[in-house]
Amino acid sequence: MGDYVPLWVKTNHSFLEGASFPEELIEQAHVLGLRTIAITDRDGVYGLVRAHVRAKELGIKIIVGAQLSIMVEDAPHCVIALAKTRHGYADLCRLLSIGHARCEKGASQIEESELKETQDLILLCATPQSLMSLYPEHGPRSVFALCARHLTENEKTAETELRSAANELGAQVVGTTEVLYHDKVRRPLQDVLACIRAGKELTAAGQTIRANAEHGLKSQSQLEPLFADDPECLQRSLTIADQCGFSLDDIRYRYPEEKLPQGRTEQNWLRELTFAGARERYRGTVPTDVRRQIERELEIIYRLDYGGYFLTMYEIVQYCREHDILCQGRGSAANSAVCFCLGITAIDPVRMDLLFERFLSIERAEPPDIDLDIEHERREEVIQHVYEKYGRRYAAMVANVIRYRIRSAVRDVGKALGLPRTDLETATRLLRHRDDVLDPELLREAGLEKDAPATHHLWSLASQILDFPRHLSIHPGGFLLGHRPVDEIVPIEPATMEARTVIQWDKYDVENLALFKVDLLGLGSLTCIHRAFDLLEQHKGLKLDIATVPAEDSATYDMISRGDTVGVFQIESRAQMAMLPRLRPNTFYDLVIEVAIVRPGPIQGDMVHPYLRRRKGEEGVVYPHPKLERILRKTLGVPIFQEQVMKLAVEAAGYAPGEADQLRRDMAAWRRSGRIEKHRTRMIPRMIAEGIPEEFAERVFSQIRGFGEYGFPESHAASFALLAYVTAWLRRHHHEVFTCAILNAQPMGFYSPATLVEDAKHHGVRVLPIDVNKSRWDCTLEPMQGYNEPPVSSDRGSYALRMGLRYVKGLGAVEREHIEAASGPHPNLATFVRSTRLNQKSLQSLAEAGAFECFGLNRRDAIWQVRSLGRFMQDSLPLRPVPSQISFASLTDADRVIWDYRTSHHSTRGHPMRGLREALRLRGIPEATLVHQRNDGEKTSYVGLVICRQRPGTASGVTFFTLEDETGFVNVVVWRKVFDRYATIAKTASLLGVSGEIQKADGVIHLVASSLWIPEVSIEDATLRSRDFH
Amino acid sequence: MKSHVGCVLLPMLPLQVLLRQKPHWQDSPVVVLDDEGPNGRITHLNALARRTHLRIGMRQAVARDLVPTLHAAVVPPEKVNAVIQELVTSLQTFSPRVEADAHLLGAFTIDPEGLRRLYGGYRNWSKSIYRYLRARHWRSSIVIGFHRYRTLAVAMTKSGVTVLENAKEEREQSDVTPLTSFDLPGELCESLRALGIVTLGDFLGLPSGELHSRFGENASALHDLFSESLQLPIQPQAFDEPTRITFQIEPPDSDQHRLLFAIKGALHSLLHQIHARAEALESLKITLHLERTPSHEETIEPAVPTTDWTTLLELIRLRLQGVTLEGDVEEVELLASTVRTHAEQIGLLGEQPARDLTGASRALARIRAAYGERSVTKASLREAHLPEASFRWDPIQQVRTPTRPEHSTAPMIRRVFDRPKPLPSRKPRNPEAGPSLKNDQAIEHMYGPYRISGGWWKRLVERDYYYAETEHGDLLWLFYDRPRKRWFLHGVLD
Repeated sequence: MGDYVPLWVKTNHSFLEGASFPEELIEQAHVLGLRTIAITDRDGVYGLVRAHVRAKELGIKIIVGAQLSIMVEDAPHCVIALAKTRHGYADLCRLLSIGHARCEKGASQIEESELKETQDLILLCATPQSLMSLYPEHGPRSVFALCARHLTENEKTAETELRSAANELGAQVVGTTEVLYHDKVRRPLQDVLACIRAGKELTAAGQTIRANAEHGLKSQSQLEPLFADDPECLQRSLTIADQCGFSLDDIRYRYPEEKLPQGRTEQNWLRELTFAGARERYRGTVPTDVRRQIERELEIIYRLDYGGYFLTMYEIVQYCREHDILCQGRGSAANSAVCFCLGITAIDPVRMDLLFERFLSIERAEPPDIDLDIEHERREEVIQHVYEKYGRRYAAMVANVIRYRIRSAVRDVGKALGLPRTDLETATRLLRHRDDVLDPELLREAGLEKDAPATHHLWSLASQILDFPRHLSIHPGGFLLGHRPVDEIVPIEPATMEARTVIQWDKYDVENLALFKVDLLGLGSLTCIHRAFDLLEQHKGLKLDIATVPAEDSATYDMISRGDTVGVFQIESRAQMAMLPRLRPNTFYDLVIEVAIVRPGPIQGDMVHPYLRRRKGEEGVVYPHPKLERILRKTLGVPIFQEQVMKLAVEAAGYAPGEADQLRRDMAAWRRSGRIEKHRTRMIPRMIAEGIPEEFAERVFSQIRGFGEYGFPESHAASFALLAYVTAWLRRHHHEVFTCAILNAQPMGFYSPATLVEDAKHHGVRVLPIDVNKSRWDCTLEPMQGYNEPPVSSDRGSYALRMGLRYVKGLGAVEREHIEAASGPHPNLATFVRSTRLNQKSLQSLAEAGAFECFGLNRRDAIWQVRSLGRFMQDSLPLRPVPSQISFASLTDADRVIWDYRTSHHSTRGHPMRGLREALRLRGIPEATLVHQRNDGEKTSYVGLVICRQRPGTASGVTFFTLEDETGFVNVVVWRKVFDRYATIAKTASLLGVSGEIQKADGVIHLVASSLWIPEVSIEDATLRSRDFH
Repeated sequence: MKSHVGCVLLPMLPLQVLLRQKPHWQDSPVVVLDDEGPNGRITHLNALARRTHLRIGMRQAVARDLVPTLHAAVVPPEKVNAVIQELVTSLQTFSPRVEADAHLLGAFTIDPEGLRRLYGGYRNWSKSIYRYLRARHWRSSIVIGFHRYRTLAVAMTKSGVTVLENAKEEREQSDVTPLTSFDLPGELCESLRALGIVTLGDFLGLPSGELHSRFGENASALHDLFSESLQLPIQPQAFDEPTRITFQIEPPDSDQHRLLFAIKGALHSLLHQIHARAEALESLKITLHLERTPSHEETIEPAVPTTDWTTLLELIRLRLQGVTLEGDVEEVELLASTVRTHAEQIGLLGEQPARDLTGASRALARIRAAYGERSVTKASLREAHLPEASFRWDPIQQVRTPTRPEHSTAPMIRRVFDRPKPLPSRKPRNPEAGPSLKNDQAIEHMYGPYRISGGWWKRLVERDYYYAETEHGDLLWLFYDRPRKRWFLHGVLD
């Protein structure tokens, strides 16, 4: 240990105050020869785990603490609390949780009295008031006067008062500095952070910023002259450090023990439940291989003492079942037969030949990671159940630290520097979200003077601030549950969202400390499936669940192989639709591959085409090395799944299990840290040395990089493929049910309601318009009897789909209540208005949507009438208003369609393009079906509504458009050069003309654009809203 | 025969104001925003911006997504109002009856009768206005018609000069004006559009009573504005003539006594005018036009607005006695800035403050008159680290009774020099060794340092401050400037 210990150190996780990463402070301490350092973030332990991980690597001891704000005589005082023991740390976390609970987000205040019950904390008081208040209670071994020196004019007076109070009490004085950065070069950044926090500009910052640059981490020799008058107070930091023996490694985390039935142990209760589930899954007889697998898994679970975790997941799944909430486990949990038998996952890992070790292994001894998908509309119920069952102190959600990205960095730093905000807006628009380097040339393009000092500062400081934490947000579904209160492990704060609480660590911190996390995620498709099952039972008497949907249905695979998958989970995107006719899935495992192959990993690794060629038999199945055959056999010698890549690293590059595990972590975090690059130099030479061709090694590495955050393990792909199959089966055999369900589950999926409605109509489903006397809030199915028009397709003939009132723009939960409370049908508009008591705006929306046509009113007359009737709705006497002197012309058919789109984002009456068809035909512009009949290389033009613009990161700047008309879709490929040339049209046009060349391969057609144009024919500007750039 | 009325419309006035400030933006897409932030919305835009699919009401963030190099700025309402005021004044040279529209920025109703004859007809008169505005880079549309709001409606769809022959033509041309031109509330505009009411003619075809019951007062008020039978008269803006007197000095003279005597007579007359307008003089600008040399200007401000001749003359005397003129004065101009006077009851006898603050204010006015406007100031504290930035000298007009601080202790007075005085180093080769004082006065103790650094965003400052005690017991306040490696004396302590 050196001769002093910095006891007051704030990392950049003291949001908008600290100006160095925790790792930078630890590394600097190492360079300065300091062997111990305290980490004391403001009101929390936000940066502690990152510091702890780096400190372990460098052999530096960390004193765990926090800067507290203690209320003494109604005024806040700064006190540094350091944990001596595990008990002290638990007290510190509990105090911070209490402090945060009573304050606004981001602040904490602790009452003096709340410190009384704490033990094993050292309290360093920076003011005489806090010292005099805390010293008598906690005594000389726990309370010290904190004398912090930064060469400022007023600190001498303050120190004199503090020392005088200490003398009076007999308290000892300890000397230190308040460290805000690891090196004084970060001083400008610290000034800027302070300005951002205070919402001020630098020139008007005054004393918001520090007086000088004396807040860097100092060596012993740099600090000694500062305390030359009292060297003992500096040395006292060593005495304090000696007392603090707590380390984050001392956290012994135990997952909550479920309440067990009398006489059962955790292990045998899990065993009992698993085998009961197995008997159910395998219809009474558990096959031997399954039994063997379950036994093996239970043994590992027992040895790792993870039984409680599985029982908890089982309990959550049971809760969902009891409350009729559809859920399904995904991720590596699908490798586990125990999870399958407990009903947590829906994939049989034994039949799928999935490896349990990918999920749990004795060697890794890492906590298991089970992600549970829950139907999205009901996820909050499950979250609140978890809070209720475990209690607010035992369950809290994991944080998501919001960090500076390039645009926010330029905006906030620029504001602090006082640069014109309009110039900053220009600069931020020129930058792309994904940029991770700030190009000074862009700042010049934005109108900022190139050589001006402010521009230079903006560039330099915005680059430095990148990845700095800005504030705490909440993880979408990650829970930390504890056997002991979670607030003894990490402080809990109220989240912005009502009824949610959040811990101060993010998922990486939780993972680094090997804590258990339960992920409860919302999934729209489960809502859709659940609603479809309900409709099938209600209207057709067909009772199904995910497990009982007929398997391996050839009609379903035929539909999928045509790329006819609008609305089908996971395989509905443009890229997936283009792949389906090539891959032509005809088994469930094909579907698993389909789900996994259209991902950045395989695409960047150039693995897609080799796989397709081998599947078609155009190329032989060869393995780069004989020992890779075992790994790659299932996928024809081409790595497609994440775990295959991991195994390649072990087998072909000789990675040790620890290295492979590090690779997995680096893959997950590469976008954040760039750590993946170090594996290139390690992996490729080793593979070449093993006799693997360099080109293959390079491709594998590219794939690893592509897998980053987006790779799918096989088990995960299988879980998703199951949902894809179920939704495809529903769509193929009960299209009206499927469309009704997916429309009622919106917002979800890839396509807008308009496209889903059009797709249903193309498949012969009759779709009926919104009608206040027939529509419910949700879309419904109506028997077809009584409708004169025959159905287009005979097997869709039994039910028509009635659009629900939820699709009228401007109606929400309040209006729903009003409408559902009024009993219909209503004989006339006046009665409807009086009984529903809807406001003027809602009535007008309904009138515009044509929902009052049942009263014999055209839309304009209905608008005119509701504007007058609105005034009478509070009258107790049902007096009829005076009839109007005027009536308005009805809309044309084309206008009705346009109004439908404007008021409800879809039309049951027709497609907006139908009205333009004749004009387009005269100009020689074909509809989508004719475009699909064109030959490869043929030149053509096309006009359609833009329903989607997409620019995948893997596509080197190519933008994909999906255009639609009344006959179907046309996929358009726009190269970057063409996009840039027609940028405004490309970004804004809802009705787009494209000229280009047909590209046709394996039945997949694209129109490769050479020019984009606005058609001379026009639909009113209120048409489809496209889904752009996702 | 109906009388004529004129409308001068400067469309998108805030945008025009912006483009006059930044003429190099003319050939690019330009928009005016209501706020500088990303959520600021477009209020006005030029044709190039419209061509790139930008629209009024669009947020800046969205607009910049579409046009990354977009030129955008906020034009403060005060700026627009000042321009409108200038335009009213300019238009008053063509007609004494000019009214700026209260709702539509850039629209002016103007009475063409009277001065029209000087120009030989309505068209020539209108063209003169058009040319006048064009010469000053204003884009405008001028319409002469019979109904003030219908002419405005016609002006919205035309450019240049339009003279309407009769009310029928005016009705026909105004009926086709799109309702969107009228800056109606969004909800009203949308609702009317839904009914197929898109032009003024469509709108005026709706029964007024039913319109009121369905769309409220604003809609029916707009309807009524265009009523043939109801035409609101022009409410012309009054001329705001400044109170001014100019007189010649013959022969030109620079003798201050004689000048003062000449000013005395004119001042008497000026104050008489001000008094007649029930106003008082707040400040007086005296411009002395000199022979063959530039004019000399002085401004006098009394302690309180006044019409007291002797007080003002005394202040002018004090000011002129300190002035050296570079030539003989051939003309004097007195321009008064005035305020309305308010009658006050004479204070009753009774408790009088021990200090006569009004007397003090009068004294300060005399000092300002004698030594210049910035000769009377007081220090105001500012929040800053750098000593010279931690206070500011603010001019004061009125004297206030000082308040005693709550905890009054004997303060140590630090007299800060306006500019720090450089001190030589004790050891020139090692400036950090310490400063050397005049007359070889020795420093016995140095207390410090305390360090101030900052200003890196403009000019780096890094100072180590010390209190130095000399052998004579003097307490000095000095600093070592690190970047410049020099010592400075910044003040002394009493």
